[in-house]
Amino acid sequence: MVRKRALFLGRREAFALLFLGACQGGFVDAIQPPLQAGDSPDDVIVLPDGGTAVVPKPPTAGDKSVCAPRVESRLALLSDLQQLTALRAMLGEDALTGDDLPQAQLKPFMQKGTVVNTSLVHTRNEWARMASEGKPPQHGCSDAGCAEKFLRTFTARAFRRPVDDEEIKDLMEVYTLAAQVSPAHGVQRAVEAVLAAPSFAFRREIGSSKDGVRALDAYELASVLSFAVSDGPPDDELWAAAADGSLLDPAERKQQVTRLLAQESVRETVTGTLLAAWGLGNLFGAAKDPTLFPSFTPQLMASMYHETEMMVSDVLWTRGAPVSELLSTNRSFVDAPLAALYGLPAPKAAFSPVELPATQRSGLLTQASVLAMLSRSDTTSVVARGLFVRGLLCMAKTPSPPESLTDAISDLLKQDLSERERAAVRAQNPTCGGCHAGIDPYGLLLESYDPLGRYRTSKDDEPIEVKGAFAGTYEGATDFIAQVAEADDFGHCVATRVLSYALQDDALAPKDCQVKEALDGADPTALEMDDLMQRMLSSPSIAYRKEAP
Amino acid sequence: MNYQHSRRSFLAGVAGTALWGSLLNKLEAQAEGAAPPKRFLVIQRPVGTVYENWWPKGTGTNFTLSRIITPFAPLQSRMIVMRDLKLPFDGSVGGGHERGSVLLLTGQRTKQLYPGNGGDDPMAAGPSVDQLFVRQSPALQGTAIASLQLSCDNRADTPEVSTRNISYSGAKAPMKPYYQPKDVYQRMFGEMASTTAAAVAKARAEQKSVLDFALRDLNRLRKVAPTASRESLEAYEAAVRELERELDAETNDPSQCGVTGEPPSISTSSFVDPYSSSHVVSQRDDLKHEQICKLHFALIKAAFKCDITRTVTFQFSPGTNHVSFGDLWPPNPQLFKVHHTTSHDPDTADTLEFLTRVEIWYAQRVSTFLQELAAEKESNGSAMLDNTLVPYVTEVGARYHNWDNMPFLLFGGPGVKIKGNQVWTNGGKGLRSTNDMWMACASVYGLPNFTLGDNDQHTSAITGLFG
Repeated sequence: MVRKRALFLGRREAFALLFLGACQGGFVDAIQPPLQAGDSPDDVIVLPDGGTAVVPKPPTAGDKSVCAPRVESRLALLSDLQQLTALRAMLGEDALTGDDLPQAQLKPFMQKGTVVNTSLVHTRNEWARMASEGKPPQHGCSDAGCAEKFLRTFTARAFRRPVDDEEIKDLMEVYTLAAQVSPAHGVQRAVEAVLAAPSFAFRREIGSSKDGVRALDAYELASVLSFAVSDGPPDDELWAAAADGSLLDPAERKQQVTRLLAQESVRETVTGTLLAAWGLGNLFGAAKDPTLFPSFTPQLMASMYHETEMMVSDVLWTRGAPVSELLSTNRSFVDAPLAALYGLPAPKAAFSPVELPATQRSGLLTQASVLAMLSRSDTTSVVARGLFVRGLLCMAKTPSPPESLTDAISDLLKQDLSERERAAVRAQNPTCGGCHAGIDPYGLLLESYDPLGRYRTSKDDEPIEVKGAFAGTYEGATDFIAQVAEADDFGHCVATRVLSYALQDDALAPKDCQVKEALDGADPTALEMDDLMQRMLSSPSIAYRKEAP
Repeated sequence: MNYQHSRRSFLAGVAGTALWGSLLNKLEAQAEGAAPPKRFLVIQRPVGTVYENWWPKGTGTNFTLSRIITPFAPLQSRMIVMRDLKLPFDGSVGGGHERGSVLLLTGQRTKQLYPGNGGDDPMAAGPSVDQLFVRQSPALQGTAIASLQLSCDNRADTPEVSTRNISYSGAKAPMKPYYQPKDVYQRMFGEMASTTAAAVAKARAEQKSVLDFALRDLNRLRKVAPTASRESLEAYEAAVRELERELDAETNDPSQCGVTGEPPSISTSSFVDPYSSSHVVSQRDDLKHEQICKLHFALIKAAFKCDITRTVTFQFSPGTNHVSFGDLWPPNPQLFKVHHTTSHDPDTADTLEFLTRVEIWYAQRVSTFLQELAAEKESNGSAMLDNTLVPYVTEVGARYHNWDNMPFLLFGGPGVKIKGNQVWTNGGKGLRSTNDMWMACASVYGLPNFTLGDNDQHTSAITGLFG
């Protein structure tokens, strides 16, 4: 492990000088020393069934030697997709249907743009009404006593925490008014009220003060875990682990994560979260010149996306391979149009597993979906591809080009130049060159793939020269990827993304102690997804929050 | 006299009778002769204009209409052609149509981009002028629905937010438009169409109990939430209160408001045209596009007639308009061409003629609708357009994504004291921020001290537009 990293750091030094000014940022960040655990003994709590749970001491706020939580205690608004998933968890998968509902494939990785206003509340109230009318819950109640009992359970699960008598008393007012029509109607309106309530739309991450930080309670923890892996509320078993307090024990959280990750729907959601982290939904906004690329139809786009879903799913779940195989695997899944794109014979059945040619293809970065998404309509985009590689490895963000260059950039794009020539123009311009030295070389390595992601060795009768990037350090894309797959960055970055999504903390970086503490020295190139997620989701940064004002 | 107030006092007098609100409107108007309310309707068309066919010849009151503006000739006395305007774009982020769409009504520097979405999708930095007007001006308040947002097409280049919305309740908080007239109808008339007054009252009482539960839940959350989360709870409460007011308002019989029945669900194309193609597509969208817009317009008129809302923002489409038009492509009218992507083609005579014809297409539809508003009599005998200020705007100046020389028109009448029949210029003193125009519009609603944007994004309200 150490040897691999050393090898890669050596590569870094070869082009370290290329990073300038605002774009200074490590290809591989320096590793900080491991964090010290608190010196006081952990709490042991006795569970209702006589078992015990070990609850670690919280990190002490203000003590620089421990890794303090980054995220403040808060109410976290569910995304539209999570609200919909939660609604269906309460009333059934077919509770709400329609074209304009949020789609999992287009889910944003970060919810930062979602803000409460009339438009949002009105939409969610309408969902609650339509779902409760269209798919009323089954309860068999014909009197208020029975309804109250049913609603108490229903509300607790909908609010993802125990409810108190005052809440039920308020809810029964909704019931009583509507029950004048019938008890069933009373329950239906009460259910609507629950699903339209802010306690349904907001997830609590409030906890209680403990040694200067906020420790989440077991129910809050159950929700954090559940939404992190399924975009939905806790299932029965996770709920039970919250109810008896066992979830306060990180060991139990690990078990729950493993249990959940065995479910197909959860695996699909986690796969989708990674795809969202990579922005693959943007593929559906990609457009190609039909005269140049007549085969780029919506069907092909969908096939490309599905191939990547299947490849990721195969590596992470079917084979349980290390996450680094997402970069190195040659195994993929194609239908006939994709087979043609990759230069393979048509498969016997759609999305059959195939081995892609090892000299041309290696994992995610060489998938048609990624390469097509990161191209313009008529040509590739060295910049888009370069930025994608940086994001894939969680390298420092580069600033947007200055406003004053807008016209110059637009002129550059209009000129009849190859992508390589454009990169050369940027490299020579002192204002552009600083940042683009850390962007373009990655994109240039991927010039062997055309705007559809087809492998090519020449363009317009000119040979494609990829060796020039990074002063000839790499033979080409597959050589570069092979070395990246052996380095720690990608694994660290996947781990960071998992924690980022769970906490909705987009500034989290691999160098942060929260990530390192959770990884606990594991070799990121060897980590399997199940292990990685166990580590991230049982870590202290999941369980504790900063005191918020 | 306050229109809403007069309605309320009249209602008190007829309490217990099961009459529709709109019928009451007429009765009380006859009884009291109350002045009709002022209204604010922003109409946005996509992709800017073609300047050579847009600017009238001449300035002030001495001018001749241009080719694109000619459809508005019947409304000339009610119209101001605005020149010398620019969006306050300096120092903000976002792409051409994207940034323009956000700046158009918010007038505030965009500082952040939504992740993904093409990398040029800016977040609004504050509320839009329509929402600020409603919030600040009693002249626009007191209706069942505080404001309505409508759009005729949902397609844009990516899942981007910026081009799909022009109205914002606050930073990053788009007021998402309705695309289906059917959904607007249901929001306006709810369960009215098919049931009795007693059943409506019962359903509304139940809906209010649902909202009441949300408010009590909010109060409990407020006690445990950290300060940083309070803002979200306040916004939630404001939204619930707004929905509550809709339930408190009198119900309206659609037919009394001039709507014959629930509009059908209209399925629209989902085809997104790529850039470097010929932009010729196999289906024309403009017929359905027109159908949707007409239904939307009819509902806006109905909403004004029954005073269901006084503030509306209307988009023909996101700035990256994917609607295809038949009959308009000069070399071959049989071909169906896509609007926005064609605007990225080289400036051939055919391209410019096509873009001009699309602009005229939109101008004709708007003119027809505004003439309907001019023909619609209000309770005091004035015309609906007399009392409605209608800015006709777009998110870029022209196809090259400039944000200066914005081709805007203002329409209205004596009720909003518009000084029509003029081409307004800044008198050779350079460009003025569109925020200055919105600040002038604010005076119509009794907000003389209204400002929009940072201090360097506005100067003072433009004078000479309103009497």
